[in-house]
Amino acid sequence: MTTVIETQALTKIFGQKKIAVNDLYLSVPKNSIYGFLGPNGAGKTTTIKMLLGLIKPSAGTIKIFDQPMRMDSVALRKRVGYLPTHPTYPDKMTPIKYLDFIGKIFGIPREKRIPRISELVRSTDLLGLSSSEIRKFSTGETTRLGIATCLMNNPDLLMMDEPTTGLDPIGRASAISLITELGKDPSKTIFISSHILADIERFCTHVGIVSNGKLIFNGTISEVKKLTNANSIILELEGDMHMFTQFLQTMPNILKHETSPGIVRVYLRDITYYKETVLQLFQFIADNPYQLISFKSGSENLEDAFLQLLEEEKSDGFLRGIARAL
Amino acid sequence: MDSYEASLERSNGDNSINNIKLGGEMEDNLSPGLKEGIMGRISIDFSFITVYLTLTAHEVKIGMKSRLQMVWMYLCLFYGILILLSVRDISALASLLTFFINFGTIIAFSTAGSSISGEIGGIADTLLSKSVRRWQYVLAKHTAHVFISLVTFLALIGLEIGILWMMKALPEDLKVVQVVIIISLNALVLVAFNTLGIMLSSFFAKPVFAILGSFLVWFVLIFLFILTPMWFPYSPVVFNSYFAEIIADTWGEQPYWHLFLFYGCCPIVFILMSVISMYIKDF
Repeated sequence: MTTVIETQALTKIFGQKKIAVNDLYLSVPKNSIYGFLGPNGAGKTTTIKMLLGLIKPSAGTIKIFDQPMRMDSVALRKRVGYLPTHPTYPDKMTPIKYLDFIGKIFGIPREKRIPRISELVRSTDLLGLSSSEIRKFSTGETTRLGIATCLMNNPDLLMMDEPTTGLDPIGRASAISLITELGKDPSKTIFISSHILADIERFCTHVGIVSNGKLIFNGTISEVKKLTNANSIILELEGDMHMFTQFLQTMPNILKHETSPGIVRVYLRDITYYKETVLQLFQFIADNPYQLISFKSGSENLEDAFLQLLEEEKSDGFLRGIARAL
Repeated sequence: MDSYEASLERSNGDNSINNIKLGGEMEDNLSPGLKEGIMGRISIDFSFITVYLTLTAHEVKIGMKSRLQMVWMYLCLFYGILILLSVRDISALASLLTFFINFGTIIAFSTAGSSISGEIGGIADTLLSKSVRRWQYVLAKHTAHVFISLVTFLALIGLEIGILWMMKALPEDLKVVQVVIIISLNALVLVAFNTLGIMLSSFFAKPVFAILGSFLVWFVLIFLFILTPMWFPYSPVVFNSYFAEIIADTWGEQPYWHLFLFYGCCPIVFILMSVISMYIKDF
């Protein structure tokens, strides 16, 4: 599998005081939509800025498209688009003038630049605002301009730092639909940092979870879900709940269950027999007068997975540290 | 002499020249090795100049539109007219130079002081994450601020000298070289304060510190000499007070080249320091 971003032992310590990123091994496959997930202050923005060469790493290496990223790696940055969390632009410029300026910086010739601006203004829904000054823009409109700006050079890699933060529901939906559209382009790799799990779950194919500057998971979305909480099933049912719970007590692979009106959460004793247990449950529902409204495997919930991984990191971190030291 | 024709082939709009084609007799007369060398792919990338010029033009546009700069330009014009109404001889030029040294320097470092620190975490990040090198970014800032400052200064001085000349108010034995010397010295002071502001702006994270730092230098080099009768030839207030002697070329206190060297080297040092600072800095 070709990787677009690869870091090894990437570390950033600010002023010998704060460890922002700690020994980060990141691997982003080509043509993926990679969600870089972590709570606030986990080191996501610092990592992105190091990947872009804006911040110098204290230790470790960064390779983008198999080439080391340095402060003045201009040729490499021509293949990258970056959307900061809160993009800021010259107040008195219009989007068209700003995009033209960015196009000139990338050395795009006029005959290519003008159609490109027109295409981007249309696709980011900025046509109605094309003659307005940027200072009059809302947060959502500024984000849309940010997306247009980072697409100006038609990059192979897009880096977006919390693109949906601070947006109202309409702005968020618009940004999500734009990112989803971009994700459909097989030539592009998208790296999105966020702490909003719903967004990551919605359009990402791969995920990296970072906590306290350390990568605690790196894999596909389904892998993270499988890894955690796969030992539970949530059933939404209509029918005799008492009979159903009695049946659950007879099943050897069921450790415990929790019931609330119409919903049963079942915890499995052994994940190895997951398929057999689910089949048995479905068979019982089919044989009896039950209406199955919904079925959800515990592993489908990214939020649970995320929280569980963070908890595990907290409790295991100390022991792992000692083990490594030994 | 052999005739030849040459053509350059540009690559896909990235401003680099890929092939140089030679034709006519010259191509035929070349040895195979030399021909291969010349005809081979020569890649000269000029994009760094384009980026620098684009950035500079952008900074000039932004700077010219800034409210402070606009107010300053109108104020200069108003003051220039006011002087010409009251004084109609060469001393009008001395008044205008003093005005620029006393107040123009403040405007120079005030606008320059926020130029980099005010953009860190915002516009600077956006630009430096694209195909902009750090030195291009800093150098464009310096060039644009110096350009705006000098255009305002030289336009007004030129206008005033022109009006005085048309009014036949200039002395007949006026030495042009001496006028150029005093104007150039004042222009260099403005350049020094501009570059100082940008240098400090690249050092500090907050614009207020850059402006305070520049203000301190302004206080020591200019304001102190307005208030007190102290004598230090490198202070623009002091050398401007000898305006009449400099114009008449009778000022023997200090060789001009000392002043030119001092005010010529300061901007170079400031520019170098700011470039170095940008390469040490995290964004």
